[in-house]
Amino acid sequence: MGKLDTADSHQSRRILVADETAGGRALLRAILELDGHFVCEAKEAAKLLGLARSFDPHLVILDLEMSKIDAYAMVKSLRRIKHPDHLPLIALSPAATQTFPEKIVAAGFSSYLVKPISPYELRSCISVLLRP
Amino acid sequence: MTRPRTPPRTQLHGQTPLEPANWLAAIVESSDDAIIGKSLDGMITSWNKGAEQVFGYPSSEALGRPITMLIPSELWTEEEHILEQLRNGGRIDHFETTRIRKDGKKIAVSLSISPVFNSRGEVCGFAKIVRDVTERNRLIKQEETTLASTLAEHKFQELIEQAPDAILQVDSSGAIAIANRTAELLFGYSREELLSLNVDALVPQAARHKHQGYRDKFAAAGVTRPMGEGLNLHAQRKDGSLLPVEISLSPISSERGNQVIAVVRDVTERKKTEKQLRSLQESYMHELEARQEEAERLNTLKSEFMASISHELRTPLHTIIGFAELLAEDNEAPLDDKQKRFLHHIQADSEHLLGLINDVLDLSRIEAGGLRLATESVPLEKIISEAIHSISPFATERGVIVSVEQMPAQAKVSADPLRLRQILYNLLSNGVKFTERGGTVTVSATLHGDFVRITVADTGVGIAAEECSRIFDKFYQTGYTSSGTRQGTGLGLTICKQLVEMQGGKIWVESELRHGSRFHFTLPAP
Repeated sequence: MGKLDTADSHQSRRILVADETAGGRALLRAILELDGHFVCEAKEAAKLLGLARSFDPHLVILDLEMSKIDAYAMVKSLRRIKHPDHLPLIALSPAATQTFPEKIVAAGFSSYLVKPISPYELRSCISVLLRP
Repeated sequence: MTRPRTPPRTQLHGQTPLEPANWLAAIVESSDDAIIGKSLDGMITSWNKGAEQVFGYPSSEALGRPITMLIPSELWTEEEHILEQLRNGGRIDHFETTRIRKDGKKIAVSLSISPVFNSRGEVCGFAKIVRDVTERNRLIKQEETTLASTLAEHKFQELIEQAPDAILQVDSSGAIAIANRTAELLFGYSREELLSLNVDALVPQAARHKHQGYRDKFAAAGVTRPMGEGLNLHAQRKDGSLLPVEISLSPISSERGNQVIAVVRDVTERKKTEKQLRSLQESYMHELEARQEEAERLNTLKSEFMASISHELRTPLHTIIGFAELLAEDNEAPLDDKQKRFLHHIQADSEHLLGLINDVLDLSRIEAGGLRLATESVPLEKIISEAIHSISPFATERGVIVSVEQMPAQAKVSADPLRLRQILYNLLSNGVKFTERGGTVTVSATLHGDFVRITVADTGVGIAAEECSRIFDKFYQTGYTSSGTRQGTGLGLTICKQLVEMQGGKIWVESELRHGSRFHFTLPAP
């Protein structure tokens, strides 16, 4: 599968990544930086709202498996600050057999990806959401 | 025979003294016993008044007649023995036998016979004294009967006395007529006190006013009431204390009017045992509940553990798979062939491991009852094409064609779409895995009454008949994967079976070696 030519088709964007695991964050950062984006990591969901204001991301990727906080409730709070048109949200969901896409969309997410995520799928998803 | 005595010297006033021989005759004559003389050949030679009374024959009818007329024919043999004994000089004393009277009536007699000697000392006949003992025997018998019945009565009384239950006989006014020993012990009154009491005194104060009414009602109904029926009855002792009892009442009629026999059983011990048993039962129930709660708590803990382990196992694997794929994109530094080969192994095995973890976790969740179904009416065609779409990269890679063969228009099933997709994906994946390059896997659906049957058929290696029944068992794997294909987890079909059955359907396979397999499963139509 070919690499998307990010330098030509996309501007560099600010992307906020919320994932509790270092590996997960490192993978997302590696893919996104390869494509020329600026990445900010939120190590816990509680920091998400603050960073959403200070970092002012173009897009947020949120891992649904974060503990200690209801990711769905978090998204609802986020949605009170930013409208989906202004801040697309991608949910990273665990195995396909555990997730109801309808629930994810209803919670305010713009799109979702099932783990393990492939770089190709992530890029496609972002390019659709950040289409100028 | 008594010897003749010397006559008394004294004379009775106004009477002439008798000669000694006449004395003897007078004594014989006045005896109540029959005194009979008989000759050696058995003829009667003398017959006194007593004989007339005992046998009913006057002497005129007896003298010179054979003695056998007095003997019942069945006893003649016995008489022969007696005569035999006498001829040999023997005596018979108080021999009890039966004789027959003139009127044919048999009488019980006691015989004493002795030989009579002539002046030369030879036996010339026999003297026989016969006493009628019929009356005496009757009296003895009567006495025996009386004794036996007294004994029986005594035993019976003993039985009542020693009965484990208190026994009271009460007349219609409530007066106690009979009370046994156990009644004394049970109620704490002496026998005399009991026999002067009204039975109401043994009823607890609180129930006493009603008791008369109960007694009247019982007397009117006149039926035996079984012991311990219904109520928690109590009796009151002399000291006022109460004891739990069971009472059985039987009506009897006697010359003293209608009476009631009450059998009163002290059930203190039994009540105590019952109470112990109840408390034992209660504590057992509590323990059971506690264990149930503990089991539920452990089950919740297990579910939480499963969720946590699921996360902990998969998360690093997701990262490995993601990085491996990124590396495989070959973006910056190109990989040489060896590196590509190594990377391929990392990717293949981590994907396999992820599949295994997912299957194990799915099955654990299903078996722990932690899998919730979101059943809805699912359009079959859509979900089947989604499943085929998911499997197509793998099928393309394997050179196997996957297609829909037959599909009723607008067919729907009642199922959880996620789980239905999982079942289909598993079956399609198996089909592709076990089919040689150039083969086909087809999906079809048919309506069968209230159910829809979905079939995934392949042209692959097939399954031996003896394996068809075991193929849904946990970790069971056939040895017939086509070369180069990695084995699955051995859980895919088990999960399919569980998921199908949870949704109200069933799953089975038709196959034979080298002739492909047809997996069928049913789901209810909505």
